Amino acid sequence: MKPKFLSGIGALLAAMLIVGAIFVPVVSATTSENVQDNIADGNALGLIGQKGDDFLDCHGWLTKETNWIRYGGWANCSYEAGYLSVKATLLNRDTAEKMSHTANSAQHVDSLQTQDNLEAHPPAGRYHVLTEAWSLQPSHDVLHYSPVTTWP
Amino acid sequence: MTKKFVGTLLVLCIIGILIVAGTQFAGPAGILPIDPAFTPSSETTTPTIKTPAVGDNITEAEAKAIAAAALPEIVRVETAKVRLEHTQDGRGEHCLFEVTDYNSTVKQAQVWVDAQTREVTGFAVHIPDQGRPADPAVTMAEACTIAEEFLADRGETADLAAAVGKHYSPHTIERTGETVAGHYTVDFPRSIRGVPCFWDGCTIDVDAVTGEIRYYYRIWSLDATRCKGDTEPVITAEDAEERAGTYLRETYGDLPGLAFHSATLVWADCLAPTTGEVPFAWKIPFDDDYDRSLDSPRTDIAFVDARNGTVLSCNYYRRSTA
Repeated sequence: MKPKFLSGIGALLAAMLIVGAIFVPVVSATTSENVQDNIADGNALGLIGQKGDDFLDCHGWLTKETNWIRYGGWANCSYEAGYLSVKATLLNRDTAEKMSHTANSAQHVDSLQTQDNLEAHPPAGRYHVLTEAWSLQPSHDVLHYSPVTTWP
Repeated sequence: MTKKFVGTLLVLCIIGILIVAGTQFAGPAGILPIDPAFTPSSETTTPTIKTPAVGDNITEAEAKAIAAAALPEIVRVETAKVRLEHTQDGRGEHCLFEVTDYNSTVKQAQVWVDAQTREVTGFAVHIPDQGRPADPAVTMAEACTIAEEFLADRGETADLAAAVGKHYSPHTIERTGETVAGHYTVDFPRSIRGVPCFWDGCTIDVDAVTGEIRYYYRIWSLDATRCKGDTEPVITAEDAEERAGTYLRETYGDLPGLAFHSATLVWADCLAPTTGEVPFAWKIPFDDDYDRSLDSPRTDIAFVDARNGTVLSCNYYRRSTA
């Protein structure tokens, strides 16, 4: 009686493990769209410019200080991207001039920020920051304008 | 006894194989979405956002509704996100709700809503640059007409001067370096007693391919009663340029290639930003060989009092590394 009982438990455990071994990979593959993204990104950069699912967010900011405008930006992914790049550019709205920029990029990160940059004694005018972020694996692009700040 | 031992060993081996197989095939689960945890590094300074007193502002839900009404084809209350932006500049303190909707694959938008007045102070529409032609399909003159019609539709042409700033900016796709057709920027300064303000007014970007409005921003903060006195200049534009040139030579020495560009009369609200009478001045853009040699060429500005010829401001800055 006892050996049969032990064999039954063993068979049950084995069956559960087999079912688990089959079920877990299937579920894992279907819940992560990254499997397809990885393949696509590895093949070509042709799938650039995809947007629209809130995977990637970016933000630029600027503050007025005594002798300069301090500015920067950051990007944030919903989950780790194979590659992430962010660039913040200070723009003069009055002249449409790109004053200067600060940028950063990294592999296998879910967030990234630029170093602060300083634009010393800019001409009088209205300024804002254009932040551009893009990622690979998965492939996304996003833009952001900060509100306008006046100088001086 | 031996059979039991062999049987146990066999079961353990099977379990081990199954565990290894399960872990191997379950690899993609390791990159399932996780909560974003953005932590600014100690190397940078993140601006402090001061939240105004409760009750002063509209709610986030109201800001979303206002933004959705402003751009109904892009911004939806269900998908929009809201962020409170606090700005302190020459005009004082401002609190704006920035409502963003990036849910569409075709068009995405930002809308700025004044947290106190509920006014939509601006918006930006983002569309993918990939696939755009290299050259504009719209002319500058057409862009100006489109911008004027947009303001007329909004009922905002009153107290606006004619367009003074007209610039074309191509777009560069960051990841490929490709340059494609971009947008025209058209500036409409606020006009007080027939004289344009320097800061106050509307700025509009018109898509150089589709002719759509891609950006709109309105600054309207100057108290018009601070603009006093005669609006006829006592000194001429030529006199003002000469005074600015003298000031530059005396302050910075000889500036090779110094050139002044089309002086215009303005209310220099940038020089009296909070209280008091606003100077009536000549605004004189200028540059020199150094300015024009920069990767991003820049234009400096001198302000000369149009009544007494005093150089009020003459911004010139040369980086020490140049």
